[in-house]
Amino acid sequence: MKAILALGLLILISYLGSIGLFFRRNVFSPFFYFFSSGSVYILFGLISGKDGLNILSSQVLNQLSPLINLGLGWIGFLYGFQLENKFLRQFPKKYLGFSFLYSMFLFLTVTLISLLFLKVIYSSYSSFILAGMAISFGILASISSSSFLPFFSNLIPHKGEYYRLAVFSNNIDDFWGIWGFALITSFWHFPFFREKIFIKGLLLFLGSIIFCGLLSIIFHLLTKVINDQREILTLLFGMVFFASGAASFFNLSPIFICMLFGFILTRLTKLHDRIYPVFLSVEKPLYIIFLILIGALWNISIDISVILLIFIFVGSRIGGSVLYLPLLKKILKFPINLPPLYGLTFLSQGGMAIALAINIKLIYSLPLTDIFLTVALLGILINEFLAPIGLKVSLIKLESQRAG
Amino acid sequence: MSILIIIVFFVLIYVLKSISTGTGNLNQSATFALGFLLITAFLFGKITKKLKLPMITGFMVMGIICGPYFLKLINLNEVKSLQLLDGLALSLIALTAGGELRLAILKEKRKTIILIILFQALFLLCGFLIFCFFARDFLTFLPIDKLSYVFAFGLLFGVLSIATSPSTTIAIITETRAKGPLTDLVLSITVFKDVIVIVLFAFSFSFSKFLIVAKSNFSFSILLNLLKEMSGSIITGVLMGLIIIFYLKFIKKEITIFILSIAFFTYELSSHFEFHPLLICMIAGFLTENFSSEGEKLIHIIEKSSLPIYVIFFAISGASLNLEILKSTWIIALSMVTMRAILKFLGTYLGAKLSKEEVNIKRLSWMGFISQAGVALGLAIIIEKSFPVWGPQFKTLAIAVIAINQIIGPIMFQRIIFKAEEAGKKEI
Repeated sequence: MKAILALGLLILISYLGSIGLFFRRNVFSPFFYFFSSGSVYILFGLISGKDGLNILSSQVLNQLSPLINLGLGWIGFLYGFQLENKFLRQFPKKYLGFSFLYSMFLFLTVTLISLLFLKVIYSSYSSFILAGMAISFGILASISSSSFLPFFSNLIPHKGEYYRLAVFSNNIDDFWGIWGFALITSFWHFPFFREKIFIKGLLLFLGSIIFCGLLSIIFHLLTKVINDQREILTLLFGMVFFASGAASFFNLSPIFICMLFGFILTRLTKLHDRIYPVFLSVEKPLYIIFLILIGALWNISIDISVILLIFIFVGSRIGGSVLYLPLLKKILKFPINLPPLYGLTFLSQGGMAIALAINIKLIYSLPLTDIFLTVALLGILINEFLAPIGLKVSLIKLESQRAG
Repeated sequence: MSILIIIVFFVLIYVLKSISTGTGNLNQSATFALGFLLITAFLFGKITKKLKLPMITGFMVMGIICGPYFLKLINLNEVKSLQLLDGLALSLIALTAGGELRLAILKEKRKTIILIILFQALFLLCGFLIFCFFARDFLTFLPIDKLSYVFAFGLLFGVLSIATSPSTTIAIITETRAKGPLTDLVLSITVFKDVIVIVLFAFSFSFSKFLIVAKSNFSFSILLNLLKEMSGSIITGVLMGLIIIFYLKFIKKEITIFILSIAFFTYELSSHFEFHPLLICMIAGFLTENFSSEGEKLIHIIEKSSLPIYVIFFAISGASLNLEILKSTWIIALSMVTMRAILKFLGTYLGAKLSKEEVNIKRLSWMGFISQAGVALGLAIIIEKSFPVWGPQFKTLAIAVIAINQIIGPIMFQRIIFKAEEAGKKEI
């Protein structure tokens, strides 16, 4: 079946999905959240892919790869553009420290535990590759979904500091994760990461930042003279294709490049009211198409070592989330009074973690990459499933703390 | 500012491609090229608009400049991998074309439409037969002693010359927001001519084979196939139209995605069954416009999301234009373009005069029929494959003629829209 028919199928599924996607209901149902958050589309993709019905064969996926790049870039741009100063100023500055330390703690916890087990399970592989894999798990673990809490907001009775901090942290931890990933793709650049790492890495990293700044200035200047929404959409598509294509061409992260492009642009422009409707109009279908393509790209292979790694990834992430708050209170005397199981509020990982996982696979075609993707995606899907339960438990603890 | 930004992007793509580590594969560079083309072609289109030229001319010219035959900023493989968007673009354009046809106008103008098509076809077929007969010394690839070859060449070139590009026509109408008798007439004739050309081609192709290929009989099987394709396309088009009407009337959700998926499915499924996707989409659009109250909605939705697709479609068309061929055949190609334009003028003038049309239509409307693209190119490829002795040269010449027509056609059509004061008359 040709690429174009496959794309038609994707669009149709995305249409059907977009009708029900992000549809709210007032229950803490893991099943319902799993289906309505869009995660189920990865499974659609898996079924349509070469390990399933082979509608989206390798050849088709090859032809549709500009769409994967567009998806990665779009997610990054959308995220960066939404991080307006207006949004950030709504929260106290201490939240920033909480979020950064939380992400670092999870990153270190998951990286170290993963590395330990990876060295035992895959002892024949070079420690260089195993370290990279562990760091990738760590980065993924530090990311949580920003749409999770708004999804269940009707079920959270008191939206005080508990809620506000969680909303902030869920939004900001992606930022740390993306920067971390950008540093890795620059300094641990594939395929020349064994020679002159530092100078080339620095050049790539600084070059990416300058490139994003330039694109933001150009787009900002253009939006000053272009009023038509269709024309803005055309230019925005062009910019995201160009930025994400350039990033992929150099084996850098399109998510980072486009995130930075959006982040700088949102600070330059005053035309948010004109730009938001443009990209929100295509957000849902693009996201679903993207998830299906990810599912199709996924070479799933499960054995006992993969199951063990999934358990380690999910377990160390939950453990880290729960342990973080008591440690923070004890060691750093952090001035926030929250229930002990507060970390369970952050279990959902959302689209950004999925996008980063696929981006890692696309950049590093190394041995174990497919195993990494299987562990990462299954781990993320399990986290999506557990997240509503985690939130419920955390809220029960909060209520009992209040009652006490 | 547009020029400055285009220069910045030229420098950017040049620098980025030259410092590439060689790790990027074709698909990644295609994404990169897609973004580059979208931005630069769009901005160049804005510049040509300021110069009172059509935006699509700007898109195409930028495609030519960046493409594999000029500055080589985009290579041939990248262009090929971007042609995936053609199916979507053509289906959307055909849906719009069908949606722009009003039954009332067709009824009112049926005599004019029939006469203009009839005389254009007659003049072009006879004209190119005569032209090829007298110019046979210049057509060095044809065996001069065999007149049957000259006859077949002239006949098939005549059929090809009848075609006008609906995609270009509709793109210019959309861009200028034109509405009026001249615009309606040019569009209606262009759409109907596409069907006529396909039928005429089937006859002339069979006849040419009969003339040239030894022991070949006049084949009715090709006509039977044509009948199957046409009836299949009409039935599918009606079904698609009914689905669209039902959807727009009762479901009404995520209409953009629905229309996009319909366009993709139609294009690909029809090529699977060897139906005509353009015909299917035109019928679907025509039904939606004329047999429901949802026509305006359909056009509005397509227009809302079509600009990026138009930019890419015409920029890729430009990048695909083989300038090498144009360079080697430009003299004969130019004379054929001139010949075609004169014959189009004569056919249109006579048809309009006999149906007692107003002066504007008699004198100006022929300029709306100059552009040539997809259908003509598709037929040229069939000829190349079917007549190995002179088919490749036929295609080369056809491409050169199409290239020139596709550059001057949109400019001429836009000019008459302005001259007839029909630009900007369509409500947004």
